[in-house]
Amino acid sequence: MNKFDHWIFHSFNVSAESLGIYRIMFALFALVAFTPGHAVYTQFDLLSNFPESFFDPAPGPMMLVGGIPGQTFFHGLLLALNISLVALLVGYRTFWASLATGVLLLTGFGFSYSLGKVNHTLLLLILPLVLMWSNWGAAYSWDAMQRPAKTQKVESWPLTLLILFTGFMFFTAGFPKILGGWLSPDSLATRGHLFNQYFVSGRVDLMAGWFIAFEARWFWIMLDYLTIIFEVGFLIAVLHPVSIRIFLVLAVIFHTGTLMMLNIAFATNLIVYAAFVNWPGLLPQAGFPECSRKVKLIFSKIPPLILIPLIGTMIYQWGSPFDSLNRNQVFTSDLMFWEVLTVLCALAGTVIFYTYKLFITVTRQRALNRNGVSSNHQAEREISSK
Amino acid sequence: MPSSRIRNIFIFFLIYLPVQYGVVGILGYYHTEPWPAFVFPGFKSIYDGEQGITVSSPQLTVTFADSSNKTVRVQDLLADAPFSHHRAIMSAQFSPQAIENIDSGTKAWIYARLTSIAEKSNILHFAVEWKETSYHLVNEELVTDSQLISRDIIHFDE
Repeated sequence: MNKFDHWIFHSFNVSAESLGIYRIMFALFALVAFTPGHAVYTQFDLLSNFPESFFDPAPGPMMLVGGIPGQTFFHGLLLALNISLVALLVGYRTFWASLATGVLLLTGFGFSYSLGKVNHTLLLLILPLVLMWSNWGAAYSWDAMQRPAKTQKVESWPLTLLILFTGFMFFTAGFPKILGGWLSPDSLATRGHLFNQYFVSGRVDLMAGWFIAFEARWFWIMLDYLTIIFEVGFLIAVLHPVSIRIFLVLAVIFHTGTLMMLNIAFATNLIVYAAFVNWPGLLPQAGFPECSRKVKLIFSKIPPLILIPLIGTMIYQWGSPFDSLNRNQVFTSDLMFWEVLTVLCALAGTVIFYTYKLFITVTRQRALNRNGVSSNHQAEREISSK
Repeated sequence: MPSSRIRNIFIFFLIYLPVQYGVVGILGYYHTEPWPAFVFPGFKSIYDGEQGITVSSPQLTVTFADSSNKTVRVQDLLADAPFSHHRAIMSAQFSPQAIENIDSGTKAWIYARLTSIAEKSNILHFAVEWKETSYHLVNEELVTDSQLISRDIIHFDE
């Protein structure tokens, strides 16, 4: 096998369980935090309140659409999206549920981004369309309960494709900075952007005020350089699984930094990075099979074709508990509660995971050292007795 | 899926990604950024605290038949769109050129929005002032300087 094939097929060793846990996490994130129809960025039905003249699609497939559809279209789209996410959550016809989720997300956001502004959330929107090829419904799913033997094989290449997209997108963030002069020691570009966000855009939450008052020149020059090294370096890092993991940890730190300083969260990226975590090694294993058994029991009583649309409709009707927190405007800026919570959870999870790993490594090393010392003592005693 | 097809998918994207980035650069320069595209925001520009930051922003005022005025916030007028969209929508739909060519549907929508925000009808006109504000650092103190660049009025009494 050549290096190219090895990179495609063996960069990640995934298990059905890990992908299954991630599928559940992704669907829960989309339903609870992103809440189609309730969270600010997914209230697509409100778009039809705007006049036709506001429809200004970016170059691309949305130009083929005549205008903003009516509310009925968006209500239908959002209901279908909620139902497909519930199907993804329980792993019912996972391949088709992923396809529906991806297409519906792209359609809804396609209209949202046709008002003249494009937000850079594509990575999250295409995730189900990429991971549907991994067979992420192979464990902890209705599919697995129906056809256990047939559905166990999983593919890791979609993760390689996903990290290639991530690395390239980071490169597109870093490369223009080099052209724009970020590497000039006189530019203090990060500080300039902080001033813009703080004074012009009103992004004054979290640690923004503290950073505004922090004047150490060396710190701001260092941030400019580190930002470019991280963003451009990510594309090189995708070539090796170890460097990918290092850069994913750096990405969590990077997003926490931009959240604290610039009040820009990019929380949707963090759920994408979670795809590269080996979840069975982290989460208590006992809970999932037990949960699967309960789900199986429920499905044996109510057919999925009734239960899934019912739950999807209920979620679309009532939304998630985060909606009220987001509406209460906890922050002065446009930050939303779920965004801050997502970034902080990712940071806490990363710190806890690596502290735990360090602890395990140190404990094992000590145990090995002790065993080595005691076996040496025993060997010496045996020699002297002889 | 056969390995050869997967290999071809990767070869396709390894060619497609740099090509689409080039297209994004060209289209972005002449028109707007395409969508969907595999790009993150570049934040290319550099702001210098001493040279200052100059930003144009709209100020919206509605005048009623009883001669009273009310300042309207952009976030209230565009409450149905996410905050991140507001600046782009204002630039595209409320520029002097856009107001000059405003259609009856947009005018009716503005009237309905203003009536809902102000909780008052009988609107005479709606003024959109674009101001250019410079933010400078002078002796480490922030100094702002505003300048009116355009004032356009949408009349509802015609």
